[in-house]
Amino acid sequence: MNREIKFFTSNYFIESDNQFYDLISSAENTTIPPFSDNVINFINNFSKSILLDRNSRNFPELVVLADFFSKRNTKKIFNQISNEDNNYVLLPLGKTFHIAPSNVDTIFLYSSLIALMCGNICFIRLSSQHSEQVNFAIEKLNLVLSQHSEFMKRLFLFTYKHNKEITRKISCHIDLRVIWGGDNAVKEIRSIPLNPMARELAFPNRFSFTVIKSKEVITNQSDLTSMVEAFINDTVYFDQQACSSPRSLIWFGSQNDTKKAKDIFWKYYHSVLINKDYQNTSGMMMDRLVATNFLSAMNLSKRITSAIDYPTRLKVHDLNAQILREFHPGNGLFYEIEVQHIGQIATQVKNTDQTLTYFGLDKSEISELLFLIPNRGVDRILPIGKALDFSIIWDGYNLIDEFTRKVVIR
Amino acid sequence: MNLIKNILNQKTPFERDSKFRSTDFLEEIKTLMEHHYENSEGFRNIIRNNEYELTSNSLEDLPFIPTRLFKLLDLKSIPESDIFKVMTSSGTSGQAVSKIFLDRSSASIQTKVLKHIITSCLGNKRKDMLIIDSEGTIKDRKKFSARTAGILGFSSFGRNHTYALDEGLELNLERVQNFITNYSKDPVFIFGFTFMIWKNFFLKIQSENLNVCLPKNSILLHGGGWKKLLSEQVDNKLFKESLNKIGINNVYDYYGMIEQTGSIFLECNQGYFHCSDYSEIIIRNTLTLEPVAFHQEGIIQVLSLLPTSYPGNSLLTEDLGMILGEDDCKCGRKGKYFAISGRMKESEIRGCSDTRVI
Repeated sequence: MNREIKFFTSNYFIESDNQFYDLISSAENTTIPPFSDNVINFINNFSKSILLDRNSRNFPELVVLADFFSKRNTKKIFNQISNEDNNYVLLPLGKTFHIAPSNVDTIFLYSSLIALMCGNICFIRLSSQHSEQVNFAIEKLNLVLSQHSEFMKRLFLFTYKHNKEITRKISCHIDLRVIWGGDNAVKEIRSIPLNPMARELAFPNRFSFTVIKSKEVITNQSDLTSMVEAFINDTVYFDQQACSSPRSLIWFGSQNDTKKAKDIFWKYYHSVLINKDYQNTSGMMMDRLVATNFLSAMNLSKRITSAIDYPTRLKVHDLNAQILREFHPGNGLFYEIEVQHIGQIATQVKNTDQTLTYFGLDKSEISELLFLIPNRGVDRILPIGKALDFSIIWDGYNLIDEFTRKVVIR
Repeated sequence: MNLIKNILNQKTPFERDSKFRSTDFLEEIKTLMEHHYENSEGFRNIIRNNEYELTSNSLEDLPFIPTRLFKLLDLKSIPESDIFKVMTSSGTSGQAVSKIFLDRSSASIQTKVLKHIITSCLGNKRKDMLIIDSEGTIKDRKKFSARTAGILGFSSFGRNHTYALDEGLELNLERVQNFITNYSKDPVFIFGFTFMIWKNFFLKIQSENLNVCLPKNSILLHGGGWKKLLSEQVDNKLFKESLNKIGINNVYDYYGMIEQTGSIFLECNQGYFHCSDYSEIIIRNTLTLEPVAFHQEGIIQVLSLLPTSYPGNSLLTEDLGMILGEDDCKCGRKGKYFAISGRMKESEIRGCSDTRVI
């Protein structure tokens, strides 16, 4: 067991053979209330340390993260929860265990830091390989920890090689487990038992798409530049691989309108894209080529533009094939499908769908659509441009509710 | 098919020049693509749904499919009942493996073509053969990996096959020394995978100062790629110099893939890989996939006259390389010669998930 756990935060005072046990027992025993001044300060200082470092400009997603945990935004979140009825007291759950996905990104930091903000102890398991942006975030967390030593026993960042035994041992000492990752990773970790009282949140693979009302594109051309810009922002960050990145476009309208609307939309798209900072590497192109060949071999898609084009557009007649969702590589690939009625949008939705971004739909159409969806699909419906905005409500959970408990007092 | 037979009758498979590639070779590839279009539903769908053209008058403009596709799909141009052998690539655990379907005649053509190419460097007489692998690798015929295929394929060019490694891939010094004692009169043939020759054979001999010296003029053929060795700062030059120290002065690399078994690309005495008359390569820009000029690096596309049971005549690899010339190599062989510079960088895995899906 010795030193199988490697720490990234400066609290690596654990030296004995039973690292995992010491890890748990070295955590603070005292309870602090959710949103205490101390923890808000800590979080705000972390946010500040990112924003004040010019190098953070290389990591736009970290700037967005820092903005979420800024003084202004955390105050807003706090005000939302403190307005509620006060016939209970909000308390943290206790010890929380966060398992990050093995990729380059930092999305898991949202849920981990919200858990910390709620007064919980956070054990965060990172993957053993991580990227510059994760390193940058760790560096900042360590800096802020050195100024707030009281959090040294509340926030632990570490890694260990895939080892069910360590995960199991940590899992039986905690009150909440949060898993980010691909479906298989989530399934495997969920098979490891938790305490009877513990909660679990899992964030597995999701799929997201955009609905555009064709008529509105034709009649609202003055809005199109900003709409297209917002759409590009939704799709170029994270190379279109975040759960909420739109991967498919559903065109809603008469065939005639849709034909015109597509031409107009993609013309605007390319005129805006030219001035955008986006990456299109040969690895991304190769993924698009493989996906395009693979899906077309199964007759699931037809070429609109080719794999060497950015973006690659594929005509799809039915989004219901699970393969279309599983094998979408992100990286600048869009499925396009045309529908005439709102009910036809609903039949394209599957359980795993998360974010629907839209243009031109009105409130009544949205609520009509929502109740036509025949399954648990879609957790977020937002205007184009908001796909990647993190919010306290995620995948249908209110994270603050999930990371706290309400003690009833009468 | 007649074209392959004609080439098989040549003294060596390195006699045709660039004109051949734009005439007979092109026509044969087009005929093969028509055949796959008729007989492979997957291939037909790819051509139709991507609006690829099968009628072009240059090899560069004919379609190609990514080799990775054989890991995702069962692509074949023969009915189930004609399947004679299914070859799979040696993926590490958890990774998808390529599946290549062969009927009797394509399996037999692969063997003949490989022999034609190999004997051009090894000579027609079978040599005593030292295989730098363990016998276990070929015993389990159910697990037909690229290593199994390689060893079995190359074994027919040798005799008195001796396996240098034990089951655990440990060097069996006694067996190797006996081999040398028994067969030291004439040059021998040594075969293995690049990484294993280095790691399990040479390094072991060197670090323990073992007494191993192979007969003069012996020939070593190796393949399997440099990825692992380059990460340990071992390049072709060091590899050759090192093997020289244990008496092996003819060291030839080959470039080949399970998706085009048979028509391998063999290294010449100038140190370049050569197309044979059965094959051709095109180098493409890493973003636009347009063909690039000689001496420019790009993605390697490989073409082969062999595949008839699966649509593998024109494949886009994920290897990088450059063409160094055509028809004028100092070694005397006709055709294009090239160098391989590594592998394309994979896309990053981003977002909330952590799995590579494609």
